[in-house]
Amino acid sequence: MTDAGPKTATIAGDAGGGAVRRTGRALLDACDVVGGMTLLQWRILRAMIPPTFDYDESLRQLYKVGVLSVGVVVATALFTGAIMVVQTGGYVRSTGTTSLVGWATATAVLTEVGPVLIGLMFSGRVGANNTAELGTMKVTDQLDALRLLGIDPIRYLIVPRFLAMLIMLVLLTCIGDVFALLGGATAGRVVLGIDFRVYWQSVIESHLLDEFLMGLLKGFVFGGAISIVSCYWGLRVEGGAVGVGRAVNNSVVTAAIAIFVTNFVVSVLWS
Amino acid sequence: MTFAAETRNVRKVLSGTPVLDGCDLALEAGRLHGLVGAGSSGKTLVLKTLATLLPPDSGDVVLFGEAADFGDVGRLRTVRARIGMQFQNVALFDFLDVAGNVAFPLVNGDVPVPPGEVASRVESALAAVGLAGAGGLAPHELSGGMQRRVAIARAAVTRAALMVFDDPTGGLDPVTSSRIFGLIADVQAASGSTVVLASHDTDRLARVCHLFHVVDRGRIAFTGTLPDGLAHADPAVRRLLGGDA
Amino acid sequence: MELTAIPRAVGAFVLSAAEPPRAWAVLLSRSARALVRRPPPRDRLLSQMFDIGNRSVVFVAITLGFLGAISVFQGVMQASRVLPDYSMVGATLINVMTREFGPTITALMIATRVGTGIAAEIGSMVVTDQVEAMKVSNTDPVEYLVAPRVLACLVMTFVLTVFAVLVAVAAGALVGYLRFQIGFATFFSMRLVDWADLWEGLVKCAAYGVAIPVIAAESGFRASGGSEGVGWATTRSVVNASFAVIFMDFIIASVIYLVTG
Repeated sequence: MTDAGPKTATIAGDAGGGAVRRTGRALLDACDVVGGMTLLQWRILRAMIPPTFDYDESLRQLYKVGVLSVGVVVATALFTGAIMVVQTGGYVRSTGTTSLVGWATATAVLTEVGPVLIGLMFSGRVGANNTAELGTMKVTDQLDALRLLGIDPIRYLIVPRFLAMLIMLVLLTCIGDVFALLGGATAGRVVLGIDFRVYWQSVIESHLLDEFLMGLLKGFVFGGAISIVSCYWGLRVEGGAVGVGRAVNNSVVTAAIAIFVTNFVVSVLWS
Repeated sequence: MTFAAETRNVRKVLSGTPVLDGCDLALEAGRLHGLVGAGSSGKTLVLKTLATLLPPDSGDVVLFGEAADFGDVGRLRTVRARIGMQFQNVALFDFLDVAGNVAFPLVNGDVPVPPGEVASRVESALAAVGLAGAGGLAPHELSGGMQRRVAIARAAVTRAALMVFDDPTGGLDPVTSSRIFGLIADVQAASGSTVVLASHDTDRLARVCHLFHVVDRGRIAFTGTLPDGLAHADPAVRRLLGGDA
Repeated sequence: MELTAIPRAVGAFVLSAAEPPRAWAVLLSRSARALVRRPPPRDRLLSQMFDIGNRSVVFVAITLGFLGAISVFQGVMQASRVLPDYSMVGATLINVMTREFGPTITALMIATRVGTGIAAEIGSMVVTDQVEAMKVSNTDPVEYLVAPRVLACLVMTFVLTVFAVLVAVAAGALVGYLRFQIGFATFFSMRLVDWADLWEGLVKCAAYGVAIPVIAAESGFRASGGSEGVGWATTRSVVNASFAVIFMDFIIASVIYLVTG
């Protein structure tokens, strides 16, 4: 704890002249973070060869990451689909065409809205939790205790989390897609008065396999991004309870940026 | 004998475990009281109950001759205006500097002290704990001992009639501990307030405290002077007061 | 177990989701009363607005910028399947951004950036006894900590949303122009935006702006037991606040649709 203490910037603190310095500092910080994450990614990949990660810890992580976030993903997906259908309401009302609602909803949900919103919720539920957990282990010296026992924390703690998030976000996106379409059907029936048959016919006839697969790819990419981001911030925690809170904040913010940026990249590259 | 603060047959259950179980603590006015007990015996909870921060499940908290009414926020405020407390976790506000922390009870209390007077009272409170001129520092820039001293200054700055100090020397070195106990004794002597001081450090408590209270499993096992306590029939009381069992 | 896991998880989620709203309502009414009875001092309010607003600008600009860009990209891709007429892409984007994605995604970002911040801050104050110290100094933590944040967040949600819509539309226009040769004059068309859309956006902003700080603060107050408790409180805050935003979005959109019908 020397000059790099907690950030206590104030409004009046550095007016004039400080703007350039602040921007420079922010850019350097950003480079530091991106570099650190790249390095962590590299260390994770190296630790996976040979693949001798802890089996029990991996199963535990798969359960925690996957099963325990099913509830929040399903609830989010139901409402997301419903919102998309309600949003088409104005169009349906002015033109009287109900046959396009299923297509519009399914396209939006499968390609963009579904993966992004599920990714954001996953980051809040799993990513934030992961940062807090690793951070608490760090501030209570549990990571050093592992090292002292000759156990590599990356191999033992991080690799199982990385794999679990990678796999589980793909599966959760799958489940989420289904529930989003269900939510859309329900909202279409209740709010817009569209027959279930018309809606599902429109969904099925749109032939959206391509879109669906792109959504799953996004889930894969987001899962990787969220795991790296959340582990990175968790391992970097310093300074007790305050530090853990701040790390969780940084983790979800960075994960959101990563989601929107990689979402753009995947979409553009896919087409 | 008048009591400044009492808990009468207080019971409190937290997550299924009775943590205070018929606790009767009576603090004689104008004296310096030492509160000792093993870890997790309920010292902090007794003190928080006394400071009206923890409503008991049953029993009464009597402060300055009047039973505290935990449902009446207005009356609670008048009572709290006469209490100062230093917390086990130090609890300095990290969004304020040292002076801001010490000034907090003066500025945000029910009867705000005039601004001109705040500065001088903060400065004299800081000087009393040997931190004159440190007002502009942030809490995280201070060492553990200095943080405790700031917390003591904050607890004492309103010249409260009842001052509560929860483990003011936890984790500190012997020299700093002696100084802090001395400071608290000075504060008590100067103000004539009722002061209660919880600590594990019976040797140093013995040098400053007038009366002792032993907490054991959520109740008060002994109240009285140190020689009486060391001659007590219960070996647990003798052990907790630093005597042989 | 595999078959019952999903309904059980949903049930647990619903149950755990049913309890907090009461606590939110209590906290909301207490901070509203505090705001009316004793408005927070100007400097505390301004520093909160700075914390909430200015420090979210870059984050909101990045996320919503990419959202606007990808919306145009996908919009054109889908439109080109039907007929290659891109003249409505800009107008549609502006419409959707005004009443739906602008307020909602910005609010999700505020819940992420600001909500976790509030929960972490109040959570660490709870576990280090700072909140108790406040009470013993006769200061109401709700009045001192929550009320200014609610007011500041309400104001800054409007400001950030307007800013976010501008950034998203600008980024979208750029993609439209560079990749698909849609002229700016065609793109920046307000003909699909009417007063109802504007009102929908504003109502959503107001609802999110109040809900996020209240939910985050409530999570913070529930923290207990060291750094683990703070981590738990922050996690809980992101999930609850984000879900509340999505839920309110659906309710508000549905009500407006049914009322205007």
